[in-house]
Amino acid sequence: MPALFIFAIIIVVRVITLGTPDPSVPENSVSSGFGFIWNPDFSKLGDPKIWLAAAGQIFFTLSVGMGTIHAYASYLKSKDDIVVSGLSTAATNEFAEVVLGGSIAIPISVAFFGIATTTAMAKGGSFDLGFASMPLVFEQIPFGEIFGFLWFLLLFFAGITSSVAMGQQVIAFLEDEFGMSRKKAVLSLGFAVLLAVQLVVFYLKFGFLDEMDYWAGTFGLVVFAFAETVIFMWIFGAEKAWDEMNEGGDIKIPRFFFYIMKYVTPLMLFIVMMWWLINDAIPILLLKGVAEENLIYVWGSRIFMIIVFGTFLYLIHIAWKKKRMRNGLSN
Amino acid sequence: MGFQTSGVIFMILAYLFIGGLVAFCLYKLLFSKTKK
Repeated sequence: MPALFIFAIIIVVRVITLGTPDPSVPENSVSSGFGFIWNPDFSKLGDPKIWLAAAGQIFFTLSVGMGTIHAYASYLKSKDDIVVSGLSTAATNEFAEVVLGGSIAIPISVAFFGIATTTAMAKGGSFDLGFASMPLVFEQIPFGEIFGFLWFLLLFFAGITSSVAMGQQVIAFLEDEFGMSRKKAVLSLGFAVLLAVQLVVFYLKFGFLDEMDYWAGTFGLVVFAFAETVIFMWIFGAEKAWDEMNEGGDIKIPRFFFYIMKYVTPLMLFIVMMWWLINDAIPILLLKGVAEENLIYVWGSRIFMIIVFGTFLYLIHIAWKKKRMRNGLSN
Repeated sequence: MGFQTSGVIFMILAYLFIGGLVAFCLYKLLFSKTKK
């Protein structure tokens, strides 16, 4: 993890010192790139699409709504400090993605290609921005090979550490519910991922990954995060949840957040989901605007996600049944 | 479009806020008085 920060800081310094790479086009500069990110456009706050994208983004980067937090939490003792740990996780994440990440890909892309091209690239997905635009940029700067190497090593570290975290709940599930050894659980998951990832690699350009990213990495996270908030604050009980969170904490969470968690978060997520259902659900479900030649791959991606989801539901069903039988026998 | 004053202010505020949070967490993690 420290290596990730060191590489990122080296690249940020390089980006900031680039200035205006082509003096004949003064509007294409690193400063314009920062302006592109930071100049506020308050009219966008009224667009629920932005809220859905922002919620999906922050849930994804903090691993909320995908079971990782639950898996990690299960290893904690009741007196462990989750307030400072949670705050540190969120703060370090924001430092990495807003301060460091926000100072690399977009500013450098604007400096070399201008705002219009960068916007077009960003619309093609963050994949295009990170993997397609950055190599072009590295070709044009001195010692570009070294910075390119650092950039892709950085993405590799970021990806592999996140994958370890995201795989943990599946590994723990296989260990706890099916009595697998850790080695066997890791190998089983690794093999399944290796098989599944072939589809993503070969059908990437047909929108296979983008479709998965939309449903599993953005929309699905909002749905699950909404369910988690309701279960934690309304079914488990807000006061009990609050005591659980603060127990063992070196600092107390300001009471203001109690009301945010109980009322604002579920209400906001509910509004975003309802807005989606009314305005976007039908065109997105019917794949309006998707190129004819990509349709089969996008449908394939959906069927693949349904199979994966169905497999997990089936495994949970078996685990549940086994547990009930065990409990029945012990009674 | 350039880098507008409001953009610079937003960026500085965000960097200070995030940097402040990281510094606070580091302080708490390194010098916590709570016995574990």
